[in-house]
Amino acid sequence: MPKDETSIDALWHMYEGMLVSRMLDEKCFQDFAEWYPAFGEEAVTIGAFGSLVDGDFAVPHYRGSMGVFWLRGMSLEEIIGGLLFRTSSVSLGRLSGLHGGDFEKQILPSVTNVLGPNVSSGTGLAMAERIRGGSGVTVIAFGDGTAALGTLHESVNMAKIYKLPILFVCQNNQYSISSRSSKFHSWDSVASWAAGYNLPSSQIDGNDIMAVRAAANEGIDRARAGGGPTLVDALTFRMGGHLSTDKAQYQSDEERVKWESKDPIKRFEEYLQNSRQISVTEISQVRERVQRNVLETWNKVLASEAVSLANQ
Amino acid sequence: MSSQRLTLREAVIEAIDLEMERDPNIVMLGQDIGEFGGPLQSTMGLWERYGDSRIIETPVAEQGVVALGIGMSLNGLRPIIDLMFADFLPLVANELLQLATNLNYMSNGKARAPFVLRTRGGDGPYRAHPQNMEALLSNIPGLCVVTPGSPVAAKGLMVSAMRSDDPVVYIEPIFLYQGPKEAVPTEQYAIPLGVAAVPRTGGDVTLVCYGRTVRVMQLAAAKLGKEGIDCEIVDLQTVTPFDRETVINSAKKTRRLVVAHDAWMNCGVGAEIVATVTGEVDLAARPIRLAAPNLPIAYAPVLRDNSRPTVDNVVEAVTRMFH
Ligand SMILES: Cc1ncc(C[n+]2csc(CCOP(=O)(O)OP(=O)(O)O)c2C)c(N)n1
Ligand SMILES: [Mg+2]
Repeated sequence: MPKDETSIDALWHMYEGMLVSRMLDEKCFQDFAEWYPAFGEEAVTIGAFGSLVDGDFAVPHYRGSMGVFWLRGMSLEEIIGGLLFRTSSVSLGRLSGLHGGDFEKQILPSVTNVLGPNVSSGTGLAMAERIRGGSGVTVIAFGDGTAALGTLHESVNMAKIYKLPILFVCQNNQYSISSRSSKFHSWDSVASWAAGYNLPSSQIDGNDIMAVRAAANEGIDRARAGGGPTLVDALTFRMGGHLSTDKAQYQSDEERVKWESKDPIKRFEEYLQNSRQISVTEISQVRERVQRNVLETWNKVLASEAVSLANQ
Repeated sequence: MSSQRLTLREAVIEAIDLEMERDPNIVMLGQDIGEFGGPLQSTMGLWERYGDSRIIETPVAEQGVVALGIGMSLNGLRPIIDLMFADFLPLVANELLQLATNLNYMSNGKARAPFVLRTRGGDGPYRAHPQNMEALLSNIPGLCVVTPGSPVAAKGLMVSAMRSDDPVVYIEPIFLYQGPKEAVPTEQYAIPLGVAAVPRTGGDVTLVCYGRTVRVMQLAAAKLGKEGIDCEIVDLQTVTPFDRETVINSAKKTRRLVVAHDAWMNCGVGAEIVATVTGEVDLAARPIRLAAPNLPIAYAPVLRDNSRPTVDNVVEAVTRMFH
């Protein structure tokens, strides 16, 4: 991944990452009885994890994890194999597609469905890195609902006292299933909580990938330089239900319309056109190429060997 | 007596509804239990009837919420704590196993905690939370663990759980949740805790089960009946402390024992039952346990389906005993 996030290569890479995430979600949403899409949250996942280099650790939140898998170099065959339980699944079908990050690529897989333990053990990855004198940084993402768990607060506190090289990112889609997080948090931003633990922290526009990327880079650079942890509360919106069968009647039409107009992919396309003078044709060429690649790979993987008791 | 055909889920809700109407001290704590209708629709209609003051939504903070509920139960209320899934029981194990269990005995009966921790567990159409944790809760004295195997049992057991003056963990099997409906009496009724049910009597073999495996045993017993093997089914209903008398008496009669549960075999409920029975009864055949293999539960259906005892497993095990 190009270091300078404003370079043309970096821009195309971010665009492709968001498209891969969106298009895989669309396919899963359409084909599976139950799916937990990250529609609208792509700028957070791709922006926050986009600057990691080899040797860094990624601890993604479950929602939107596939975009992070792709950023870390898992192939579409592997990601889709995880979704369709084919032998290209890195866990051999033992984990769901969303949970099966490849540990060899320094992604912490979610081997439990319980929220919280990955945030805390992710903190331990960074602790070992500091003690062993490595230069790796760990980016840990979690939802706004998860943010209320005690284990998260304990970990943020420890990250600070041990000065750990961590960027915490709250993938704040404003909901935990049907619960509006504002009703369940004592502050209006998770960043205020983090400030209470004396971490540099801020709330940012999570639908603007350039803003997410810039905030993430600041935190990652600080961590790498020995300056300890940072927390970024990336405010975004879950465009739809918790899972595909949830019609999200508890969301208001007003907020839905407001956030649809802030769709991070559309916004990035506008940015590419208006601020970087990239043509609509070029943008749609990339879009078509990614779409074709996702669908062709999907069909290829679908036709490949399934996991079975015999090939475990 | 009038009745209505209900799913297991609906039967639990009906029990809670009637009891909340009767007893103003019952309140419910949990995530998404309000307008949304609860995880897997487990609280549908309750918020509309009892509102925010008695149906209290919480943050994602299970450990704190369970301790909160325990404290509330020590000060005059009878909370039902809704833990979204049984996968989260280990997260609140400390509060259950070192606080709730100890209160009555250690305080010499002065501090009692009348709460129900309600959760749902095991595999099912909703595939996200497949694990079964009841054995973990059974190792420590002082906790009552209940798992209904049918809608009728679900209602009556929930009523007793809510009326108990000590903690009850009530685990609803996801597999049966929206499953076969049954005629459930409309009036409120209680099925006592610690007492097993015998939904089928027979003289040849005792099939001990609870939760989803009740249905497995029923289907297996029907098949075996056609081959001339007469099965007796013992549905524990209360997994811990289980009904020794009913289990032992049945085993004395049939002198053959099969136990099936979805939880792991190692140090499981089945091991306790087999040890108890073999200590008291001379069996004519070696007892058989059917349970999940000692591996984490994989996600891919083809792998996961291999971790649950099936009707064929039971038929095969019983047939083996007679050869
Ligand atoms: C400890 C724990 N409690 C509850 C759940 C059930 N659960 C699964 S996803 C989810 C929503 C969490 O909200 P958030 O962290 O904001 O993530 P989002 O779904 O919005 O991405 C919940 C409560 C869980 N998996 N773990
Ligand atoms: Mg959320």
